[in-house]
Amino acid sequence: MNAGTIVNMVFVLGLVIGGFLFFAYKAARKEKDRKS
Amino acid sequence: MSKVEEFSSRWGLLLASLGMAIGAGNLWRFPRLAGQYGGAFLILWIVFLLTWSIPLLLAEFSIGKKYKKGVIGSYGLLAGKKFVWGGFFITLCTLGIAFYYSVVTGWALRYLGVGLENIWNELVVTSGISEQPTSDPEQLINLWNSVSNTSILTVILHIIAVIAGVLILAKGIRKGLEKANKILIPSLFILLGVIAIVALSMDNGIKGLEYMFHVDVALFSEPKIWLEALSQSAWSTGAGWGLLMTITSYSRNKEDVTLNTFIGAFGNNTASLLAGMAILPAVFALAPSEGEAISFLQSGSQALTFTVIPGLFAHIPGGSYLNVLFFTAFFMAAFSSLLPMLELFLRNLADLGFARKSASVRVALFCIVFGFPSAWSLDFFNNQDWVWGLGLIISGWLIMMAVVKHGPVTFKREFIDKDSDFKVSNLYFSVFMYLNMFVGIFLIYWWMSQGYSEYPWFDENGIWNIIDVYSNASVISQWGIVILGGMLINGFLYKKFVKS
Repeated sequence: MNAGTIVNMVFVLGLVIGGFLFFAYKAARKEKDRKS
Repeated sequence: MSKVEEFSSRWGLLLASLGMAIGAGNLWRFPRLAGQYGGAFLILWIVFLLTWSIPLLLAEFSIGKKYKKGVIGSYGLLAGKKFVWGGFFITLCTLGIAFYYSVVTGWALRYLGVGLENIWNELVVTSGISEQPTSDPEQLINLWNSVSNTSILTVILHIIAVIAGVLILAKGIRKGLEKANKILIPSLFILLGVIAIVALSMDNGIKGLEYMFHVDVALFSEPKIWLEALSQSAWSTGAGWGLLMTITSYSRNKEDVTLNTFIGAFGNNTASLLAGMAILPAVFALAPSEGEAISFLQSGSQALTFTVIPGLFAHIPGGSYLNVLFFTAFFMAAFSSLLPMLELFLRNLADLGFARKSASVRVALFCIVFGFPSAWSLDFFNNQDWVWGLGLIISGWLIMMAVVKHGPVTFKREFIDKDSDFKVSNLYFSVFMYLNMFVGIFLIYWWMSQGYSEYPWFDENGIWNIIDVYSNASVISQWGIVILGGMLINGFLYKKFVKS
């Protein structure tokens, strides 16, 4: 696998899966704050 | 008037949104396109997530949450008295898809059954893991032909899928839809993760990742890849279906619109990437050559899922187990999307005053009867998939039109920002609401000009070609009937769904 492909893989996976986990974490924090 | 039921928590709402968005398209269409066009497609697919899908999903989420009605009622309240027919079109378009989506769920059940039968044969009949009887391509094609055409068993499985869905929904939102998605969605992610790990550990499995993520810069100059990426994002995220509007009509008042929309949209794309990382490495590892792997990906969604993948899995030890995992995931994805489609119909009936249980019986009867032709004939199925799949772009366009009519900035302030902790900019929301209306029209024109039908408008005898599976005449006629019908009964729709 060449460097360009690896960079794109990290970019796409990072943005999409990272974005999903980031927003889910934010929501979990907000839910926790609301309950406390 | 009785109080509308609500999801018990934010996670209940989010899982229902994810279940709605993650469907068969994530597993049978996305990996096909990602394998064919690679990293360039993925980049554009993310661009269109941000520019087409998210603005539309933000609008749908907030409309459902604000009005707490079914699609016809909510749309009528936003668009105004003269445009209730728009909500009628969105409802019937998604219902047109629901009628054949139960058939897809039935196919998944049938192949799951075949997979389990193979495992049983291996364990009991041959007492060990051996090559399955379904590794023969001709046998697989025969199996697919027998499943997809004039099969009583497929009709029965379609009926079972509808009844199972309706029985879950009849229990209500918390005990039915929410509970089902709490099982379906985490299980689906785990299954896709397991298949991806197994596929990536195969010899040559990494080749699939190379094809998926390699960026061929020259592809950016091809309009087709832009339009395929836009279509995939529009269909896969559920933007414009009216489903998110239905789900959020059961949301709590303080629910955060922007954050929840972003989680749903990015979650859907995460599932797509996982599916791509599960299927593409398997296809490239198990196909006899790279050329054949590419030709498998070009063979179409139905062929890839039902004739190629079972055949490829059959060549490896333990492949029958992988096959069962794949079709379990496929079933879960299809069923989790079927549930909100049935709920959309049910919610509109509830707005008419039907009690949930009585509405459920009516939904089941309608779906069984109108889904029968698609269960019986693959041509009919493909026609409906073509007509209402394209119709979703019209549905999205109608939602954008209602937002533009209200004024995008005013809409954003009144509907979206009120309960959102983080806000998207006014410019972003407004620009894409206006721009996407032109993009939507061009997208429909592009798909219709692809030449899938030999006689797109008139047949060789000069007769309006409504019969042909992929003809534009068939598309326009069916849309026209629904739009004109909706306009004719607009007053009735207003009185029953909006004013009440």
